[in-house]
Amino acid sequence: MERQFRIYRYNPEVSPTPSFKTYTVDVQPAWTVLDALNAIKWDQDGSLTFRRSCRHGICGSCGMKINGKNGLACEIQVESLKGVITVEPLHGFRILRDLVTDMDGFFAHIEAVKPWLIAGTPPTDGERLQSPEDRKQLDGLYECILCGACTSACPSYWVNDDFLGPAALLKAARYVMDTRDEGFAERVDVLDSRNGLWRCHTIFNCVEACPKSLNPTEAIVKLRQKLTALKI
Amino acid sequence: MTVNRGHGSGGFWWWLMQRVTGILLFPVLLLHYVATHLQTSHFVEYDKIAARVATPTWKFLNIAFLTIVLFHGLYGLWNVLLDYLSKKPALRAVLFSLIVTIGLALYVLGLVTIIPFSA
Ligand code: FES
Repeated sequence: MERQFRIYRYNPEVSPTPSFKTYTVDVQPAWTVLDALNAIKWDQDGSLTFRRSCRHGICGSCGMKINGKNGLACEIQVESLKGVITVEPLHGFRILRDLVTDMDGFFAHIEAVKPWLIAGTPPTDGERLQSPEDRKQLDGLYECILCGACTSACPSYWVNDDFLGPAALLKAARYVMDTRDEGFAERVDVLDSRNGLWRCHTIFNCVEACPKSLNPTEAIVKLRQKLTALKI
Repeated sequence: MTVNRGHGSGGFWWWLMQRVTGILLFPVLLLHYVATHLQTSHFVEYDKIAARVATPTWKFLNIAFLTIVLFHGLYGLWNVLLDYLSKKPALRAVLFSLIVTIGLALYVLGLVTIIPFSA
């Protein structure tokens, strides 16, 4: 079935002004938006630029805005979308070219929360075992694939890209809530900073945007509770 | 790529105070509203209001109301402004001083209004 894709085009080497270009694609059953983008790139316009890698919603490369909503191009079925399909880069990040955004700041914020296990003692049996109950506390925190959909949807981040953002805070919560981790005190400096936890105004856009149905707002609340317990 | 963390500024205690004043605001505002706006037992007359304001309980309540409202309102405003000021440290300092000055001026004005009432 033929479908139309209205795609954001921007190449600063050619023109400083972005524009939209519409492509007609013969879409096969069960195609995702990424399949259609590939078809455009391979058969119609090799200059179209976008990120993708795994094609299975795992790597987080293909985060983009599809019909006004953030999502993964490789997970969204074309059949689920109505009318002309508009594809844009993630909002809030500097656009490098077409659908490719500059994610340097995003990853610097992830790194700032020390996204690794900080334990004072070496593991006893080679592995750091955890009870099933303790492990369960990490559900909804460990599944993040770092696609940037949540941070890109956050109005606090739009006005202040120094704000750590929902993805980095969810990542922090993944380690802070881990019973084997002892690094909370080390992370407090960045979490309780001017651009840390307090810049979240509980707008919930991140929750709506996450393609993995995670809840960064809840993670932020958990971090605030943990910080309150530490300080008081 | 460096991360602008706004070192040393913290935010926890401000945030906690905002929550505490937010919770306290509800009963105090309700009481103020009922006493001031829903009072139907008598006409609003200066003498009656002045006599009530002069009682120690109402003095305490009014000063508490003044403190809570000023903190909550001005910190709320500051919290919104902070979103836009991460990369403007000079403007941030100016606006912070301005908000603190306005807050203190209004607080003093409120106190000199409430305290002199006597029975
Ligand atoms: S290509 Fe990996 S998540 Fe879409």
